[in-house]
Amino acid sequence: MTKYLLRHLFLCMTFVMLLAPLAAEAQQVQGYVKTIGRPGKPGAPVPNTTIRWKGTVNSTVSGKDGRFTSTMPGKKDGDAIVLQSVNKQGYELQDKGIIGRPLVFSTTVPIVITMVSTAQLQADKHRIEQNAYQIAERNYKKKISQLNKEVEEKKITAEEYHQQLVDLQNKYEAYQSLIGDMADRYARTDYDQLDSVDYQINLCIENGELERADSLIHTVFNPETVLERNRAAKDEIRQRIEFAQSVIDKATRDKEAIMRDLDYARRVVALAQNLIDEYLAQGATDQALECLKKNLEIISLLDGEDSEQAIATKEQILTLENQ
Amino acid sequence: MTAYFLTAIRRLVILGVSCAIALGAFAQTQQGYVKTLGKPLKKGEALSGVTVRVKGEHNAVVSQKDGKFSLPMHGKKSGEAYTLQQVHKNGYELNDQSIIGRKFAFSTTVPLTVVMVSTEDLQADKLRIENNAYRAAERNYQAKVAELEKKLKKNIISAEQYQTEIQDLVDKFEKYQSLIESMAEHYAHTDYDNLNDKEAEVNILIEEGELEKADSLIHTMFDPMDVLKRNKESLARLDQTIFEAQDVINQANADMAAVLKQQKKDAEYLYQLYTIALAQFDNEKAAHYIQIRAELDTTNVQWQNEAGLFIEKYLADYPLALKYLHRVLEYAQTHPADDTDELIATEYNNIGSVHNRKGEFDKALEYHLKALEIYEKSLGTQHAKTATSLNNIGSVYSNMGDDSTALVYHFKAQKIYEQVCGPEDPHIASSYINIGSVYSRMGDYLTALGYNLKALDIYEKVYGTMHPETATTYSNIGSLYYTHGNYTKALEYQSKALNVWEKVLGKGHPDIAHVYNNVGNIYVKLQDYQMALNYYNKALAIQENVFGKEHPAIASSYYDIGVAFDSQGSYATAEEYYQKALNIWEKTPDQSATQIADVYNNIGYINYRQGNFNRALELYSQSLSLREKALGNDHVIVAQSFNNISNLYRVTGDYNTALEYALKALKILEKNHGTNHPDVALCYNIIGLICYNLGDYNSAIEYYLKAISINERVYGRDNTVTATCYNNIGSVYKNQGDEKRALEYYSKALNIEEKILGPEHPDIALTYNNIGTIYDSQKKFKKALEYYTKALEIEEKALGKEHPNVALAYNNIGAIHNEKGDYRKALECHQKALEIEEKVLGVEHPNTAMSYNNIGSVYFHLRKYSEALEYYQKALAIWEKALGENHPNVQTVKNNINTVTEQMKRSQPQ
Repeated sequence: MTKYLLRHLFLCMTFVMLLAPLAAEAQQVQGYVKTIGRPGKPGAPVPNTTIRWKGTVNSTVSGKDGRFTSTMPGKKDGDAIVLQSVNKQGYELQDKGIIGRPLVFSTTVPIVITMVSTAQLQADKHRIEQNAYQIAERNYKKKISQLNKEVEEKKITAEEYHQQLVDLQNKYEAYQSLIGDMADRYARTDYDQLDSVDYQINLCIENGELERADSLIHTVFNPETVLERNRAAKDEIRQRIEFAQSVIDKATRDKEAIMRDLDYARRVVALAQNLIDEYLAQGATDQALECLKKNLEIISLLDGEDSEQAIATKEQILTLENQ
Repeated sequence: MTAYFLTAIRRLVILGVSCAIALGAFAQTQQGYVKTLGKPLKKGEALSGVTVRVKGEHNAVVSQKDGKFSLPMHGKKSGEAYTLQQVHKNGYELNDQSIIGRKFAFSTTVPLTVVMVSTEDLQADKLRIENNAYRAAERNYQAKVAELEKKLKKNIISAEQYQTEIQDLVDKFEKYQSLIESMAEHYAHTDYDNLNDKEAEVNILIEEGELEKADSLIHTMFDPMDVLKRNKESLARLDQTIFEAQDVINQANADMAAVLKQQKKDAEYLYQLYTIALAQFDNEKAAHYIQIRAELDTTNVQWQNEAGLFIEKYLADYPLALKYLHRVLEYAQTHPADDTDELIATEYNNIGSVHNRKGEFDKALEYHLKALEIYEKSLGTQHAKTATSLNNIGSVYSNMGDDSTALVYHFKAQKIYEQVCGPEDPHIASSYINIGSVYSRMGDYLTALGYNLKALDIYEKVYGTMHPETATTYSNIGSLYYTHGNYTKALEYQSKALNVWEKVLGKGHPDIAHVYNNVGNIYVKLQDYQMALNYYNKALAIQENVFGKEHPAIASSYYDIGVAFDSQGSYATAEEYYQKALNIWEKTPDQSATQIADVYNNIGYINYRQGNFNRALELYSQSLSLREKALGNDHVIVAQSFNNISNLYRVTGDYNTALEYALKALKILEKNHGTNHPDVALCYNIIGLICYNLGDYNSAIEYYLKAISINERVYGRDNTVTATCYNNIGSVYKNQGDEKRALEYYSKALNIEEKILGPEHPDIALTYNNIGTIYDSQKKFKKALEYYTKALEIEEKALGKEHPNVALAYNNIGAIHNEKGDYRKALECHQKALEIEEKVLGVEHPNTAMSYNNIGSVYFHLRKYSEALEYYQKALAIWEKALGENHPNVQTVKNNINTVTEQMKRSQPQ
């Protein structure tokens, strides 16, 4: 029994180390820092950005080409890593939420940090805001003259007219309070990530060409069917996963049952080995051989003819036969 | 007068401070269990008192009575390797020595089983097995020898063969004996607890040397080969199935990733459509798009929140907004993560805000308090978010009208901000403003002002003087100064605000119009009507351009301009603008009832001052009825109407009705303001005047002095109401014959009026007139005439040629001429007076009676006695009716009649 166990243990301890064919060493993550792309001005690398990871003492600085390499002892592929801070004079993160958000440590996939020059951000924001204010004012006046016409043509009563005027005024004021946040959002859009249609759409919105943006959007997107489409797709995928998972579950259960049986067979083989040892000790070589041959048959079936145990058994048989 | 001021909307700021909740670090342990070796007749048992030491750990552990022990695993994660350094108990040894040094995997679920065997038992077992083996071997040997002997006897084998076999047997026997010890060792260590019955049986048979029996038993335990084969094949098939299914899952995951990528794009489109709809003021459409986005992924907290908050603010559909916010809450509660507590707290706050808006203050408090509880527990009581929660709660109490509790919470928040942020942090400023607005609501403008100024200090340092936030604060402070009556300061601050907004919004921006109007209002109070109109027109220009001519905001501007013209005495223009405002407001009577009432009131007041008393009464009554309907019977504005009507009756001579209305007004004002308020002072003034007219001079003076004392306290010594009171007091003293005092008070009045009103104002004319009457009594006719003429000139210009005050002036001048003996001129003047009075006041008015009396007097001096008598009798009739028998005037005219009758008798031939 002990002999068998020791053999098994030896098997477990040998394993193969896979060498990953990469430039980065193990425990190092690579990445690069770039600015967002704006219309007519694609993103560029950002050198000299100081990056600090949570749980490490040293900071990393991006090179001239924006690239950086951070050493993180104890981390392996798939582990979660978290940024503590990213700093460069005159710049801020495109998405502040990246600080504190779990990212995936990978020795192969680079981490991209996107920044935006504060000056440019402010300028863009201001420009978008101004456009938005102008649009709002124009629309507001348009609506008012429309109302004026309606009341003149007696399509609405005077009371309705005044009610709608007050209503409109409120909406106008409300909209103006939203413009700031909206402008900020649009000013942070990374045009490098957009396909040609989205590029056009964003550009139109920033410039205040809202009707054009609206029709462009409708050429690639239908808001009325998107929910259904999205849900149907997700449902279909979920069903597929559910079904496959149930197949796996059942197969695993079935496997477990079979494995139990096979394991039992192994135990019996070990028991037979005891008997064989006893036979050999008493010099009953014939009986021992018979048992060995039976064992060999079963071992070969369980683990294959080339398995260690099968080979050892064969050797044992040969030795005995030659005596 | 409706004042339109920009209200400062303070968004309760939620700091973007991220909170890391520290996870409690506790020691991890590997559970274990020590038992004794299981033997055929004796199962293994729990073994206590075993010392176990893990390599690398300082402390060893000892197994308990139930055999269990817990190995410390500092710094190890599940799955990591550990080795045992030592396992010891006196009298025992490990069944398998190799577990010392062997690598085990740390598991928080699977316990480590250690098997020990008592050394004594082990030795005994070994011995037993050895003995059994020896005996069995010997038995075997004997049997084999006997068999060989038999064969020899039967000559089956030769003697030589027999010898070889025997030798062989002996060899094997000896060999076997040498192995018995090691084999016994092996079997003594067999743990029968791990064997099933058959396995145990086999082992026992082997131990006892019954090898054949063991052999056949073993062979019954094997499954037939074909079963094994089938199982092996099934295994391979199942592995294949699992592999393929996994592939399906991998593909599905990849597909899902693609769907999520598209979802992100879709969300972006929806946001863009939302933006576009907002720009077109189509809030419903915008809400539609932002809701679709929220439904795309109901676990996306940001999308749910944005939808909920938008719907709350801009659609005011509170149940719908709550749906989204509760969704986030439920999600957070069922999917705990590192930041769950904070998220839940934020949602509680958001939900609380919705209930606040809905007016469901109890629910609002409930939720805000829940949020506060979480922040206090997870962030501590010295954190900015805790402060924000406290502020939220304060606001709810404010809305409930419980200002003192509101302040308690705002101050608590204030304290925390002071500790947590620097002393010049915008949050503290925001806090000051919250506190200030509570004080403002409570009516304590000075304290409110103090806090607002503190806030301003911070904003100016942090944002600079050209920031919208700073501008809003300038404006708030301006409003507070305005309400408090400090118009110069109000102007200073509103101008600062205007400066910023003109630069930030541009001069043609609709929002600037409000500010222009505000500044205009201040200039009106400062009585710089030119500047006021200047600003009003700027506002109007913007508004007409943006809104067109029918917009309610324009109506307000027209009204304000009307007030400006009204204040400077240009009544016709004032009425024109009032009417323009009225034209617009009358189109939405339900919305604009109080504003329409104000216009009627003001036009009424104009008519009153022009002497059109019937029209005035009509308008005042219309105004009163609108106000009572809209505001109830106890509102101060209703008191204003009562006062105006009272004045009207007083001026038309119906002093009793006048008093009735004045007292109604006083009652309301005292109820609302207490007895020390400027409006109450005005009331006292009016009642004083009425008492004067009723001849109750002592009460009159009493009331005037009350009025003056309040006014001086509130407005300082130089204000027009005090001037009016001085005038009135002067008149009382004059009537009592105390001319010195009368002149003293008239001069006081004049002093103030010249300073404040300027030399062309109708009110000064009255004072000139009054002073004239003093000089008149003192027979200083030249001086008297000078003053009367001044009065007349101003009045004719300001009030028109047919005003009762003009009549009064003519009467006075006429009286002078009468005294000087210039009877024709006198008559001319009195007749002019009479003409006006008959037309404007009617033939029943006490003032008309005065003219009758005076004309009678002139005719008397012209010796036209019958005409004189005629006029005296007219005067008597009126005065008797209006003033009663005992009034001095009645006595005077009775005397005059007697004198005339006497003269007529004397002139009659005997």
